Amino acid sequence: MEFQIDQIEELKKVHPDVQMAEEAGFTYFFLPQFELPDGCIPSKVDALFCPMPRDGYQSRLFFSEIISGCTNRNWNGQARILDQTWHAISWNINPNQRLIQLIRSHLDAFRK
Amino acid sequence: MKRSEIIIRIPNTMLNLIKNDLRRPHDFAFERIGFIGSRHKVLSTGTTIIFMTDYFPVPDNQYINDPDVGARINSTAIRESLQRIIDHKIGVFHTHYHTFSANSPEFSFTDMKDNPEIIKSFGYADKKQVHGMIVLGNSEMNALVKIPGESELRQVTRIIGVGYPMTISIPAKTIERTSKKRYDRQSFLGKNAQLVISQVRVCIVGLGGGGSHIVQQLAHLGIKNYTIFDYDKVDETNLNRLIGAGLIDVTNGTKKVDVARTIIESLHKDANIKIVDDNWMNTPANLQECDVVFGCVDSYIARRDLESECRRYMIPLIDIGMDVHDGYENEAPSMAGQIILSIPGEPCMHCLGFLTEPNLAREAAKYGAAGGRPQVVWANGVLASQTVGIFVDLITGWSGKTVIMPYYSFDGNSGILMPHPRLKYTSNTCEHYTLKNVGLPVFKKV
Repeated sequence: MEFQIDQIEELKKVHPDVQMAEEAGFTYFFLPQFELPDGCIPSKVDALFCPMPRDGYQSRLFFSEIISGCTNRNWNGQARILDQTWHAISWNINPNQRLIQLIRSHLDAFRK
Repeated sequence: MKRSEIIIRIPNTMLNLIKNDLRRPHDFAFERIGFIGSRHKVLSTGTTIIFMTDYFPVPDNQYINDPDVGARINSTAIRESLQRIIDHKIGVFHTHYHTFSANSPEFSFTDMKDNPEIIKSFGYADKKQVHGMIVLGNSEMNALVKIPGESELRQVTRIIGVGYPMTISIPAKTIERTSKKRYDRQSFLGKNAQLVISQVRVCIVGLGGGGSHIVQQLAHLGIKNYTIFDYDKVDETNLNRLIGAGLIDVTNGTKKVDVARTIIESLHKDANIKIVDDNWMNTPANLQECDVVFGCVDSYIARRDLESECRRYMIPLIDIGMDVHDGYENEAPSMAGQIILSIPGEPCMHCLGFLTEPNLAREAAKYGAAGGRPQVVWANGVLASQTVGIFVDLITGWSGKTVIMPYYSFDGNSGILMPHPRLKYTSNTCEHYTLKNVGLPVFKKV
């Protein structure tokens, strides 16, 4: 999947360690030590962003562990992706946004 | 103390390519040499898995004319291999082909004199990689490897050629004696078939209606190494189909893994059974070290995750499933099922049109509302029996077939099991999972 350079640059400004990988036709952005909204436990986790439609969601943000301490959510997505077990909540967002905005919209689920 | 296992996995397509190269005559060398690029992973279980992913032939002008040995290569050939190790962060295996070897090929005196020094030099280039030497025979292989941190070369436990059929080599030193009489009636499967059957490690994910049938048949067949996953206990609704379960298991709340264990141990006191009463995703190493996986799960998403893992670890997966759908108006319900043989490098469940984004999405939308789905013992039995038949041919190649039938559909109302009609429109290659994309994932800097 191709992404516009300016959107990638925008993503790198906020997440300088971002990396990409592909599996089963999906593109993923790996966001190591991703900072979560206030109150989340833990405060930082590895995250994996899939900007493409997957399992009925227009895009999906996966976490290396289930997050607590914030709004309770429906953790309905446990998946093996790129040799790791990931967890995701049931959360749909408007797909017509820039990459960085998509990620922020996913994080809205965890804001109090 | 039992030493940890070392397993090599190599696609049959690559194996054929290597053999074709090594078979070519040379102007003066009696045999040819090549180098195989590999990656490895040490699992949390201690097992080392080596994935062979690249082949580097030695050009004609890098051979030295030495009539005392089959083949000798010059320092440029070695230097180029060292450079590949450094540039690509890979392990490298020295390889050659014993075309005269009918069974398990052995390393010659010359091999053992010269090659360990080459392997040692590879270790200097990158000591974190597994390097080694592998000799190919007509039907089997043999390999010695240098594991990081160890000084001596070690014999691998199994070398698996992944394809249809699989080529499974078990170096002579690990051979166990099996009772000839007990398996007399299935001796037509091949000279080494019972040895392979007794040595492979199979994984069964899900021990319900389908998985319990499969376990029973595998135990009769002579399979001794199992990894079984199921986190469920027997309840009354299971008794219409769960092989091995009885009323007492409902009363006692017996775990399904324990029902399976009882079946296996009734036939093999010496069985090696890894029991995991948990989701396989929580201890994936237990699955990754298996040679063949049986997927007996009940959702598209679970199948997708299982196939994805098997492809990354170069493991053939055999998926089975059945369902009963309501009939239209006054029509009878329709019973349907499928068996899918998913071999790395061959069409996957996405290619076969079995897994699609719409059906994954529909299932995700119904999450938690599935309820008890209709299942019956005889349909599970038909599908499980055919699945075990596919498995036996896959690991022994007894039928002589080389063309894969990856997708069977079962019409439970008429009792017909046949190749799925969609196969006519399926490409022979997989664009979703490539054979390069195995082992540890490669992340690229953005």
